[in-house]
This record gives sequence, C-alpha cells and structure tokens, in this order.
Amino acid sequence: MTSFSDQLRTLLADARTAVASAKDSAALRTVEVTFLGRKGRFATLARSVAAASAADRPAMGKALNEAKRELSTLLDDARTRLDGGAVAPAIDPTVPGIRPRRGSLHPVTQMLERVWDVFSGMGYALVDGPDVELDQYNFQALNMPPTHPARDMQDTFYLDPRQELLLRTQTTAVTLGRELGKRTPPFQILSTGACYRRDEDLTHTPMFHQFDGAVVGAGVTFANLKGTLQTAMRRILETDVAVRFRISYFPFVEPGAEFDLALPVQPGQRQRWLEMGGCGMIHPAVLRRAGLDPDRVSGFAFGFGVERPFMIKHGVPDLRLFFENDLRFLTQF
Amino acid sequence: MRLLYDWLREYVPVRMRPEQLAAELTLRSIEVESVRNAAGTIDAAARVALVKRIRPHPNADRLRLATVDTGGKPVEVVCGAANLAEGQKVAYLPAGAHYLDQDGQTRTLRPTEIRGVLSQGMIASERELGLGDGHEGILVLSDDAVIGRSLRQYLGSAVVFELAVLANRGDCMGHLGVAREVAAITGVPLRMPPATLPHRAPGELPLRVSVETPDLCPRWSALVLRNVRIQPSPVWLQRRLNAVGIRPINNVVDLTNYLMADRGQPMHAFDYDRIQGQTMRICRLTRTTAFTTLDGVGRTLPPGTGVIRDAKQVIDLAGIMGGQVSAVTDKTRNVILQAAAFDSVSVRVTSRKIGHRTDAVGVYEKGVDVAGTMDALARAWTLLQDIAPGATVDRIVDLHPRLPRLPVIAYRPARADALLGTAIPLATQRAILRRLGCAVRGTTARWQVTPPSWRHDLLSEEDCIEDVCRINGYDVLPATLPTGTLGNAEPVPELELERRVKHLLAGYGWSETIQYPFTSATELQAVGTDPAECVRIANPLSANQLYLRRNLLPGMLRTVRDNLRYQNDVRIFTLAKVFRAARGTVTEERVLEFALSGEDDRRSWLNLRGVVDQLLDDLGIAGVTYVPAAPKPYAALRVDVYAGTQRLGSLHLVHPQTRRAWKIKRSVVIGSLLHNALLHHARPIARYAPMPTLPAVTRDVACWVPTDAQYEVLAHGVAATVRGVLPQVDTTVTFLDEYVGNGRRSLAFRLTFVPLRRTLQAHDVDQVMERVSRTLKEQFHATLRS
Repeated sequence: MTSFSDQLRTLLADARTAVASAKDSAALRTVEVTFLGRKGRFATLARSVAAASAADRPAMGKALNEAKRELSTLLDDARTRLDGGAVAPAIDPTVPGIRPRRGSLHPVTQMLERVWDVFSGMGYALVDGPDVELDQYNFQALNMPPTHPARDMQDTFYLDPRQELLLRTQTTAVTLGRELGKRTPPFQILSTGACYRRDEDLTHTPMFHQFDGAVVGAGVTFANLKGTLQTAMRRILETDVAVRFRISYFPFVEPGAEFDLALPVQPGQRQRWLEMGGCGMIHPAVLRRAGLDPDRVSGFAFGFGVERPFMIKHGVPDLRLFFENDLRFLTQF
Repeated sequence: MRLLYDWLREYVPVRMRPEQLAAELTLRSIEVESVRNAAGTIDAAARVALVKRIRPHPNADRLRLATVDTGGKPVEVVCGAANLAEGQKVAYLPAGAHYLDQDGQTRTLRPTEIRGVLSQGMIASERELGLGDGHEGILVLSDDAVIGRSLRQYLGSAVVFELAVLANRGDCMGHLGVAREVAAITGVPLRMPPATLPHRAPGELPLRVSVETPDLCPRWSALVLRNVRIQPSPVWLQRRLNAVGIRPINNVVDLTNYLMADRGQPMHAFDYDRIQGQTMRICRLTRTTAFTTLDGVGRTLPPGTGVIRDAKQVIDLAGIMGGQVSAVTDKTRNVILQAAAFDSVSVRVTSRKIGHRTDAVGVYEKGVDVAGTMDALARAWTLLQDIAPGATVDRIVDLHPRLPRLPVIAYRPARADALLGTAIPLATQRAILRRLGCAVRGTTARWQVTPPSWRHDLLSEEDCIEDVCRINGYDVLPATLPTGTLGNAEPVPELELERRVKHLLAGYGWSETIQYPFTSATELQAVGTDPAECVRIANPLSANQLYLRRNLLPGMLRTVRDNLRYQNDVRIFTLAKVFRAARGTVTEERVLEFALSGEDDRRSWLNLRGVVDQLLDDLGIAGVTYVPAAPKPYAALRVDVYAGTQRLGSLHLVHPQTRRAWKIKRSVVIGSLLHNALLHHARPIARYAPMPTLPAVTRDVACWVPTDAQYEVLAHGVAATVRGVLPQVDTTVTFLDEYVGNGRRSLAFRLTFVPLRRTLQAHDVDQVMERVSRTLKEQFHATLRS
C-alpha cells in the first residue's frame, strides 16, 4: 500500500514537471501519451491495483483516478496557456482565405437550365430528340418540301447523297416534326438542344442551340402566344425587357411572327431591336399531317436561340466565344 | 432589295417621315433593315470629279494613278479599284475630308505617300461615303453630274430602304408591290402611272415562239421592237438605278432593270437580229450543253435545265441570265423585250445546280405575278417612247399555256377572332382584305375571299387571317396566358441525370466545355478510329470537319491544348453525343468525357480516378470495379470501369505519341463514361444507413510492397483474412496513402472494426492484426513499416 502511494506520488510529481517543461502542444501530446496512454505509466501502475487485495483496491483505485484527473486538468490548462499565447500573432487576418476550387457549367447549359426551369414552371414537358434527323421531320413535316425556298435560310449539313439524313437545323424537328403526331391534346412541350447550319461568320457558328416550344389544345390563341413569350422571356432574362412581335414567314406557322427584344438604350441612341426567334400559330397543314383537326384544336409554336439571350443577359459580345472553350471565358459565369 | 422612297411615293403619296414608314412596314409587312439618306453622311467637301487620265503606278501592279478634274487644278491620286476607267464621273474626297473605314469608323483623309507616289485625295467607294456596302470598286456617277459640284447636292435627298423581303412574298420584290402594302397599311390609295400598249402591231418581223414545257414557263410575253437606238439612259433613270444599286449600262438594258425594280418582274432584251431562224423555243435540255452567259462566263448546263433555244443553239438560261450570243449590243436595231413568268422551283433548282445566282433568280424564286407580264410590258413601252425615241412595237407575243386559277377561300371572321384571341370588327377585317386587293363576298358568318393574282401566298383561311392580323397590328393584340389543363409534364430521365452529373462535376471544380461534333480523318486515325466507321458529312464546311465524331477524345484534346497556352491546370468535362454509322442510318449516344492535364502522369491519374470514384459514389452506383485493360495506340494505360458486369466506360492515360499529335507537352488523362450506362445503374436517391452505436476501433497499417503489387489485390487479401474472425464485427479496409521513391514502394491502409453487439476489446483486435501481418508477409511479400 505504501509503495503504491509512493509510486503514485512520484508519478504525479514527474508528470507535473513534464507538463511544466513542455514548450508546445506537440510536447504536451508526448507527455499525455507517456503518462496516460494505453501503455503509459498510469496504465502500468493500474496493474498493481488489479493485483492488490479486494480490501485495498477501492482506495487505491480512487487515489489513482484522482491523480489521473489532476494530470488531465494540468494538461488542459497547459494547452490553454500555450494556445492562448500563439493564436493572435500567427494569423494575418488580412490575407485572403483558401477558397474551394470552383468549376463551371457552360453558358449554354446555364441558359438551358434557366429555360427549363421557366417553362417547367409554366407546366411544359421536356422532350428529347436526335441530332441526326430525317429530312421528313426536319423539313417535310414542317411544310418544307425539298424545293422550298425557305430551306435556303437554313443551309443544311447532309449526311447522305440522297439528302434524307441531316443534322437538324432546328429543334422544331422534335416538337412539331416528331412529337405533334404522338401526343393527344391538350399538351405543352419544350425541346432543347444543339442545331446545325452550314454557316460560319461573325454572327453564325455551324453549331448553336435552340429551345422550341409547342402548345396544342382547344382554344389556344395567338394572344396566348404573345402572353407566354412575354412572360417567359422576362423570367429567362430576369429583367423587365420591352418586346415586340412583327410579321414574318415560317412555312409551319400561320400567322407567323418574329419576336424582337429591345436592347437597353443609352441616352441619345436610337431604339435597337434584336431578333430573338420565330413563332406563330401552328399551320393547319402541319396539324392535319399529325392527325389533328384544325377546327377542333389549335396551337402555337416558337423557336429561339439559346446563346443570344445569354449574350444579352451577360453582355457577351461575340457568339464564337461559346465554342472556343477558353476557360478564362467559361469560368466567368 | 433596295427601295427608293421617292420612287415609292410615285405610287402612293404618303406624307410620313421615312423612318416612321420604315417602322410601320417592319411591323406589318416587310422588315426594313436600314434607312439611309444617300446624301446624309457625305462630307461637305466631297466633289463630283472626272477621271481624265489613268497610268500605271510605277511601283505597284495593283495600283494606278488617276489624274482627276475636280473643277480646279487637276490632281493626281492613287487608286486600287479595278473598275476605274477614263472618262468616268466619280466622287472625289480632298485631304481633310471625312470618310468611313472598313469598320465603319470615321476617319480624316490625309495626303499619303503610297508606294512612293503622293496621293492628295481619294476616289471614294460607296462604303467610304457611307452610302452602302459596295466596296468592290469606286462609286461611278452618271454622266450628267457636273464636275466640281458638291456631291451632296448631286445626290439630293435619296432616301433608300434596305428591305428583307420574306421568302413567300415575291410580290414585294418591286416598288409597286411595296406600294400596295403601304396603301393597305396607311389607307392612302394607290396611284398607277400610265402604261399602254399600241392597239395595232404591224408584225413585219417574223418570230415563232413555242413554250414546250408549260411547267417551266406558265406565261411568256414579249414585245418585238423596231428601230431601237441604243444610247445612254436619261439622267433620272440612271439616278434611280444607281440609288437602288444597279449600274446603268444603256437605255434598253436599263429599262429591263428598271422594270424589275419597279414591278418585281424580271425582263430580258434579246437582239432580234442575232436570233437564228426567227425561232424561240422554251424547253428543257435533254443533254449536257455548254453555254456562255452574257457576263462572258462559259457554263455547263446539265440535262433538264430550262432554256430558250433558237433554230441553232441555246440563247438564254431561262429566268437566270441571257446568253452572250443574243445579247443587245451598240449595233442592235431590233429588240425582243421579254417579260416571262418562269416557275420559281425550276429557276431555283437550276440556279443552285449550276451555282449561279442573279437578281432575277432572287425574284423568280419567290414567284412573280403571272397575270402581270403584259402590264409590265405596257409600262416598259410607255417609258421606252421617251428613252428610245423612234422605236416602234412591231409584234406583241403573249403565250400563256398555264394560267393559275385564283383560289376562292372560305373565310370566317369569327374563326379569325378565335384563333387570334381578340375581336376585330367585321368591317375592319373586310376593309383590310379589300385594301390588300382581295375580292370579298358573302354573308356575315362566311365570306368568299379571292386574293389578287400577285398574292400567290394566300391559299388558306389562316393565310388571310394573318394578313388581317398583321395589317391590323400584332402590337394591338392582347397578351394572355393559356388557361385550362395542358397535360402532364413527365421528366426525361436522361436529361435529369445530365443535369445532376454536370452540377456534381462543377461542384468538384471541373469546367464544362462544348465542342463542335466535327472531326477529320487525321484526328480519327490519331486515336485509332477507322474513318470508314464514322458518319461522313456530304457537304462539310472544310476538310477538318468532314466527319461526325465517333468519340469525344479528339475534341477534348483540342480544348486541353488550347487552354494549356494560358494555364497549367486544366480540368474539363463535356456531356455530348457521339455518332456511329449503322446500316444506312446513324446511331447517337451521350457520353460523359473528362480530361485533365497535370504535372505528372501519376498525379493526373489519381485526380481523374478520384473524381470518377466520387461521381459514381454520389450517383449511388454500387459494385464499381476497375479492371485493367490492354493499352490502345492512344492510351499508354487503360482501365475499364464496371458496375457489376456492365461496363460504364474507361480511363485512359493518353499516349505520349497521341499527345504529340495534338502538340501537348504535359501529361493528359481522359475518362469517358456512357451516359446510358450511368442512367441504368444510378440510384441517386441515397438510402438511410443507421450509424454504429458502439465505438469503432481502427488500426493503420503501412508496409513495404513489391513495386508491381496492386493495392486492390492486397486489400482483398487482407479483407479475406479478417473476415469472420471476430463474430458480430464488420471489418472494412480503406486506402490511406502510397509512397513511391528510391525504387521502393509502400502502401498504407486502415482497418476499421465496427462491433455490432458489444464493445470491442483491444486485445481481440490485436489478435486479428497478427493474422493480417502474417498474410501480408506470406502472401504479398510485404514487410510492415514500424
């Protein structure tokens, strides 16, 4: 018993000295392991408690635990002392922090997701279609037989000598070409994706993206088209823009219109309008070809570019930037 | 098409500012792309000048020196324009004057030495004067221009509209047609200028005309004119042509051009005496034929081409361009003035086939007024009496084998209201249709509308509704949202996953890119793809874009290379379609492709592998294994990724040789995953797993291993050793670290023991660890690091 309490006293004295002489938190950690670790000196001493008689054990255990608690307290105090002195001078609060690495979504993706969200909010179902399209869906179903002059507006990449297979020139191929005949009115659908035209200059890239919508049901009107596009475009651009509709011609709509957006005007400048896309009431021949009766249902359709609204919204001057994939551009948004 | 405002006002005397009329036309009829006053932007110092003499530039082949008379002392200027000729009246800008450069910026002209010769001023092009886009040569003024006079004064108030006429509105390809639209919009009545033909024609000059292919030519009308003296046109005519961008030539040619711009009716003048056998046959070629058009270009015409032949040869490329062999010359006395209606599709198809487009094609392909040919000739004859005095009409020919029948359209005003979503009064609807030239009959509920002959685009009720709506104004229509149920919006799983994947990757710090889908044979071969298996574009923009990509590797390597010019650390991805030729059709598939370029192969590889691990984990794809695969020509190291037995894709360390083909110096790794395979295995909705209630015990192990040891094999071996040794304990092995150096390699991993029933005792775990070290030593020849 005596030897145990002597041992314990010596042990505690050693521990106090060790704690007092520790200069940093690493040294404290060593002290902690040496004394309180799984194979530390307290653990070794604890074995003699196990070997003692049942009568002595409670007192020995109590003394041991008190000593351990004291050492723990000493260690905590020492840590506080060391830390408290070190925090302030070690950190320069004016140095910028370590930021997480930031990735980016392509501007086209960002705009498409905005478009999806706006039209989903209006109850549109998203539809998907192939990039390699049949002439039938891209043109013929849309009132554009092979010799139609309106095809010249959409110079086409063909994939076979018979010109039956092509890269779609418009996502209308999905909404009016493919889906119209498959669905039962009423419905409202949105198709988005890459389109291709054989054209490359300042304002044209051979690939670009579109979103195309169609709404079909009893009593769908041109006024509905106006309301829909006005509302949608304001939500997409997140600003209250002036828009206008003017006469245009697309073989698959009648009446047809071009949808323009007013660019913000600087004082002294003339109002400038920018073409955003085409729209109109679905042509009765297109409806009939899809098995729908123009006297029972009507519908409207619209097709817009994706890059252009992004350019307006974010002030991007050049379409070609979208596909040069310069990370210095892509990571700006 | 260019429209001269004053010319338009001859037909419809509107009193609107041109800009206001332009705005109305744009909204209701034809887009006006620009309005400009030919005199507006010209510097006040610009003068009419005469080119007196031209000599070659002593030091430059392409430049010439022109001595010009500007009313004072003659000056010498250097000029590079090919169309410069002695005797021309031109626009001269002296030093100090302003002009527009090719970017549209205003610049001040200074005396400049060009190749050793001092040029005092310059002879200006249309663009330099701010008159338009013409920059292929200098602006040539008409002969009546007075030398030394201010150019502004000479041009007067020539307000010109640039119109973008819609593809179905051939009737608007001339001033008359636009005037009809203006009349309908403004209500100002149309005023037709005099146009009459003589009552009698003597018919002394024989001519046999036959239309053998009525589908090509529904109507062929012509005047045979005698005693036509070829001379310059009067000033007013030359000025009008200049204003709309047509170069004056002589009175007869100018007249044909004038009427095309006036009526939207292309015309052609043949020299009667150069036509063999007094015969004209409108027909299609049965075999390939050589033909020289009047611009002097020899062309090869394929069978089926619509032409006019005389007794001997082809004399005219119907609706496209006349032939040199029958063209009007200075010696011409007798003229056949043709106003024909050629079929729009035939003209368009031929024009594209032979690759020759003219102004006439632009008009014919939109469709001309078949009923209007004789009116156009009457107007021509009325004008001709002034511009070619002494000429007489000898013969009037008018063949119309196939006159189109005018449709009678059933029109319901109520249907218009229902489709538009508004109420336009009956009287307004009727008035608009009538102002557009339609005959409207019938009761209040159902009308019969007969469109005018020039409106061949009006075929159905909807076409008429559009006209009522546009003239009434799209702007006055209400804007409402659709009401009622419009069906169910089912999500598209592919697109949902696409969105999720892209957001995860952006969150990991990667950037999305989008490449064109085009590639070249060289690029395909460089990544070991046989171009024969790829989809080929029949009409590519360039040889570099001849194929559709079969995989995304070439495009990603291009993007990596481009970005390495600016930064060292490139981490990009794309989720895009690849294309494959399959039995006459094309299959397409979405692929997710990653590319990373880093300092060394090992770090790059680990970064790529890490992001794939994390992505598959976040998508909830279970049972993922990586199976080393045979290297490919483009991949020095390749691993296939599996979920269960289905291959999800592969990871590649790009072969240095392939990198060199793309001029990439740094290490590049590429990963590709098939979107459909991800879709099949993804369980993105995470399931709750209960947290362990008892404390886990961990043991870290570090050991030296042979350099070719594979971690996964070792980890499996260790896991098998400990499995089941401790009852009611879950044991997992996780990778911690790897060290390679000095020809030695060490692996560190952690064993985690999670007790399910009762707290785990240290000595139980110690026993297990003994087994582990024995297995490491005996099975894997590994030695524990202390």
